[in-house]
Amino acid sequence: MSTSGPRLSRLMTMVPWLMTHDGVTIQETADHFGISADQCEKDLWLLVVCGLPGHMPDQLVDIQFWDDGRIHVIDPQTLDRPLRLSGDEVMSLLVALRLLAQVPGAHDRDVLYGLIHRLEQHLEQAAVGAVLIDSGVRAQVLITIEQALEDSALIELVYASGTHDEVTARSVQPMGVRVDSGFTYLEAYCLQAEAVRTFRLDRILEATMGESVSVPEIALTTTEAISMVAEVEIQEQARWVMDLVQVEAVSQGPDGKFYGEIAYRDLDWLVRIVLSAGGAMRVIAPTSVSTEVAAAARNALSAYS
Amino acid sequence: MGAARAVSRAEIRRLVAGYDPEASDTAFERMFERDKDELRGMGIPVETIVDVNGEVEGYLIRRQNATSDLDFNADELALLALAAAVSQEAILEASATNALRKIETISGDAPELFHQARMRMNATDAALMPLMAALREQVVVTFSYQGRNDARPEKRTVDPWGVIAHDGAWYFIGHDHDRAARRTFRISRIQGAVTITAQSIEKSRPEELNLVDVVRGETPEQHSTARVIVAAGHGAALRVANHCEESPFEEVELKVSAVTDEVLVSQICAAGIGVQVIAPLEIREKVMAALKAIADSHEGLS
Repeated sequence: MSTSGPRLSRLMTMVPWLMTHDGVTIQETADHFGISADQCEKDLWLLVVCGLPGHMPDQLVDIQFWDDGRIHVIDPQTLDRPLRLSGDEVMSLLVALRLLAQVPGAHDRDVLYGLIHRLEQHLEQAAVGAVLIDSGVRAQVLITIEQALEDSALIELVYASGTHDEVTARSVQPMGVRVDSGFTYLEAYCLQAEAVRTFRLDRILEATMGESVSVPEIALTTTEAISMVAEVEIQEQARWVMDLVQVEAVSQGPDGKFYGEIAYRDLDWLVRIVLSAGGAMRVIAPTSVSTEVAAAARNALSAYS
Repeated sequence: MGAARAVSRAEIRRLVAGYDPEASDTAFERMFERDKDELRGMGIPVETIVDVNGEVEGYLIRRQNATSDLDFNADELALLALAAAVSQEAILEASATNALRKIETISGDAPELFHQARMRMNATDAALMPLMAALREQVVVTFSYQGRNDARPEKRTVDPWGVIAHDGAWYFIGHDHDRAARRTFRISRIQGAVTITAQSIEKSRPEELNLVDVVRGETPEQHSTARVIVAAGHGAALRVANHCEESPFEEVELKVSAVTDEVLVSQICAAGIGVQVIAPLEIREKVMAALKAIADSHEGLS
């Protein structure tokens, strides 16, 4: 049974679903449960030999599905009602809902918080509030973006750029929100840059509503900048550097040091990453990057002399 | 399942196809316990029925009335469908989808979603599921962990208190038995499988403990702090991390803090020319030494 857990779980959900979808086809059922038509048919054959121990004919599930390719449940036995939500299921839904609660969008927040509260009732007291999402997004920023998206209004942003470590003020026309790699991004048309820009929500320091505008519809096509690769060397004792940045093709040399590659689109960004490693990471190639890193470090040092 | 009375172990062993009649008693016991756990994991509790003498009479799965649990209105159903869509490609995908399928048998089919590709939860660490199970069951977990400065992985024994996503990664917070203190673990640094033991936890999560504060490193006991001058328009990351209220377009003197000196030095170095340490002298010297090391090691090459 241990290898068939997901299947058993599916079979027990399938019967009540089939009862409310009388006459559904095998293909439609397969699509709904995300399996192949072939697998679906195998599931149905298994179901019709299920019942209470003893296995008398009147103790078996009866489903008809061979006449016209349509499925009819004749006798569901005890499988007529779905199982309760399991602990894993409740918690998985809760985590996803908590993520949604921190993303600006059209969803009704009262309904969302109500759902979270309701699902939490399924959990043991100690597990309530034990799985959380900290998006780092300021509440005011969240509300303003949600409102601006709804009203097609401009937003005045104070943005802390991660690429250049600068703080800038911008007027943007919000277009959409994207959640990816653990961060939430606002895609917006920036009036200063006169182009579509992406802003990480936790780096927006302030957001205030501007005026309503009618900017022509802009298609959400983000042009991918060409990415370059730098070769780096990381000290043996400094594995933590690999938490700062994605290092690809890592190998450990006979000297104990780690060697790998970092993909980058912006030189300033890469220089900052190397600085933040505090000497534990060195750029081997290209030399143009090494020169930039050295210059940035000397510059920073000059403030102390 | 759905039997009207308790069924004894012997009956189950005899009647249920799949239990090898030739198997030894211990092998049967092991399989039976494993299957009971698995059923519970699917949302099917197996009750143990005890007779008047305290002897185990048999086992019973009660017909459950899950209908009201799964009855959601159209607005709620739409949000649950969105939640399941957000979980795609995450470790939670299977259980979130299963949950939605169960709910649909009572609440009707969820609406089709078109925008799910734009919202994806980042949760791929396999350790998340067993840690969440241990949180529900309030039992001790053990795992092999290599911390940021550990030369090699070590076995950790922990009372689970919480799991939290923060700054693009997942963290596990709990009471570490060997260190007799609260610890935060980056889940991606857990090596191999997490073992859920049968042992109840020693210390439960203190009521006043705020997981968000812990993961943001705002707790006083592990602080490294410094005073720095941040130039106008510079040091964006430091301003954000230290909740600077001043206008970002003005020079400020800022108190910055981090979990360890090393992390603090790393953050200050990253700010480059925009930031200068005033005090303490120790941090100031560490930053200067790090910057000098970076400059030296990169100059030999060009």
